Amino acid sequence: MGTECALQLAASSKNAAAPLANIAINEVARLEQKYSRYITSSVLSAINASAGKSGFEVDSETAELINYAASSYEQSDGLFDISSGVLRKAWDFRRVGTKSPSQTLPAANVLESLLASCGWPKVGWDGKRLKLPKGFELDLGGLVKEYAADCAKKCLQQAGVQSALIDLGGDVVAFGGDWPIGIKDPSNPASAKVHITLQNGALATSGNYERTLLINGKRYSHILNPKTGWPIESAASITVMADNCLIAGTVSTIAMLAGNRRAFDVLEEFGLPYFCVLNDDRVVDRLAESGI
Amino acid sequence: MESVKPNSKLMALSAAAAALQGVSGQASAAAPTEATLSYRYTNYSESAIDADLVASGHAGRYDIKVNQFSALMPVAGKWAFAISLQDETLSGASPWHNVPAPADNGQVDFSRPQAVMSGATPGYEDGNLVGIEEHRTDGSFGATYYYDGGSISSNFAFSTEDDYDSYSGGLSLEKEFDKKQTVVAAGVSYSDDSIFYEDANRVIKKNESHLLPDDAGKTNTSGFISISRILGPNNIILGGVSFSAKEGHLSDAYKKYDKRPSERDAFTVNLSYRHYIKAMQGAWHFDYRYYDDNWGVSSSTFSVALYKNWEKLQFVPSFRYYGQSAASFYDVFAMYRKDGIAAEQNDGVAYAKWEYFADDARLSDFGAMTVGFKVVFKQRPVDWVLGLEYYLADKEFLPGNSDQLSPPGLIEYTRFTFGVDHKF
Repeated sequence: MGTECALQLAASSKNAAAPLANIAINEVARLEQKYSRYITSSVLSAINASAGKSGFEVDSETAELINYAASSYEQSDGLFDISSGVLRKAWDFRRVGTKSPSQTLPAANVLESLLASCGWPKVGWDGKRLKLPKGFELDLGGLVKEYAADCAKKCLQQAGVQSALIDLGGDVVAFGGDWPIGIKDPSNPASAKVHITLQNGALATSGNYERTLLINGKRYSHILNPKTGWPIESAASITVMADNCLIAGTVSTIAMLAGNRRAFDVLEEFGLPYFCVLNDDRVVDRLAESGI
Repeated sequence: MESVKPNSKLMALSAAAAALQGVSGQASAAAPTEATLSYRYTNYSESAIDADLVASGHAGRYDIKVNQFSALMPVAGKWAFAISLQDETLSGASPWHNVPAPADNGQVDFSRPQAVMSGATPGYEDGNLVGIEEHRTDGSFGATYYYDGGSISSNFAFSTEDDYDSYSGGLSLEKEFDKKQTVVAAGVSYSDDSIFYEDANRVIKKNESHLLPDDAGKTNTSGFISISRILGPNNIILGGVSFSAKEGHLSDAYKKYDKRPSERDAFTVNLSYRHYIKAMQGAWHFDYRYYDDNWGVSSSTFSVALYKNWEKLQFVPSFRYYGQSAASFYDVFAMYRKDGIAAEQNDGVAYAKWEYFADDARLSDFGAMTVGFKVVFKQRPVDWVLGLEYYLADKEFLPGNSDQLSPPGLIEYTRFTFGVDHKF
């Protein structure tokens, strides 16, 4: 998953815990194999290789994920778009970090041609068959980690585990206990900005602390606006709590995509508890207000 | 269906997420995660009856004030316990029986029914208790267990008044199918009520035609089954049927001429449709209900409400139309009721010529319209609720009833609600 993952679970003994843990680990690995952009044998790579051809019939799990993505596109007024991954090509994120040197801007014609190759409404989707226009690519990076955390929970519960904490790089699912969770401090990701206790539910965080761009002295997140292709000037991090991680992740991402001005409107519209760290280090804590 | 969250954006995403194998089917998905403490104050006020519809007594009708406290507590992710306590005070008058209005020539006018009222504010008339002032206390306790894909609930409730006690209990099941897109629910309930006069000797305006026995009581056995289905992220449809069987002393103890059958069997069919419109950030709620019983009463209710979200506010304008047919034994002049003979032809000679009779306006044929407006201010973790409702019943609201005079007992009311919910 390209990130740090952790799993804690309650079992009768250490020996009993390992095979149970493997159930969750295998499930996460299965989904990575299936949906990674970087694995050439993945279902996603096959989908992307079909761009410009007659179409690609997907399995039922993939169909449900695509349906979910389509609903997210609709509910976010087009901000959450799994076809906008190609825009990343205009920006070189891999060379930059929190203390990166300033970047140069991409040429306008580069962005323009990339923008022509994305946009969910241009993708053909009838619930079974995906038809990607030439040059299009899907990126499920904004969904799969969260979905995997939910799936791992379901597998553990089906195996009889009563209590566990699953953490896939900040996308957290907990059940059956008082699990202590630290929400990262964006200006110092090694330490926690706040500690909370999660009993049953999920937390997902979108932040600009992992990868940022410094352009003309302004810090931009690695999250790109699918409509303009430009990085978004956003809060430092937005954490959302929901019953499942997929929704928490989608809402935190949509709020980031909405930018500094609209983020809080979006969060209030969805009505889920959230924790937001602004770039000047101020905090808006709607987790505490909801009693967590 | 009232519990459907009107936060449609979240609903839409949740519906799409629920279709995912990996997300759905998690244990206790439906169990509430937050405890809620709620308070509601309701003031229900019936308009005074028109003076020319009153033969004697006070025109002021019921005024009811209700204070309600409730708590919902989730436990261990699989249980939810609910407790509710309610205190209600009722004062005012209601029609005791109807008489024809006096005419100029010393005769009476059967085309103009007037009500003899039970009395207004409580007090004594010639040493007898005449007014109505009731104090009612209700309590209920419910427990729900959530398992993978469903839930089981049970509840117990009691209600006690100066002249009425009621105990009831119920059991219901809910089961999700098809990745939570379909929910089937079914339940049964039973209540056992006792009816008595607080001080029989001092209540003069009571039922004189069907005397209240010492051990008067009634039971109600009911059952329902319903099915709801999510049709995509923006539409939900629900249908249900229910049955109820009432048995016992069903006559009204405070109507002078009122004798009703000792059994009342009814069935109800209801259909609901919820439609979310993204562009206007709102959801339409359409409901239809058909009711039919073996007393000859059948009714239709159409309701429409719009749940519109705007920032932290939610506005809910609503409209409801209700129309019913009369019970087969209803007559505006129950005291003159005679088999197939109109009251004016019967010359007011005698009452109770027929096995059953009642002049209760609630058993007449009439229509009613309700307009309501509710505002919810969501200031997490506290929600503030303000609601206002206006109801008017009229015989002419029923198709085919134009130009007909309403019985004096039909009501007009306003209801004001203030509430606060605190989530933890």
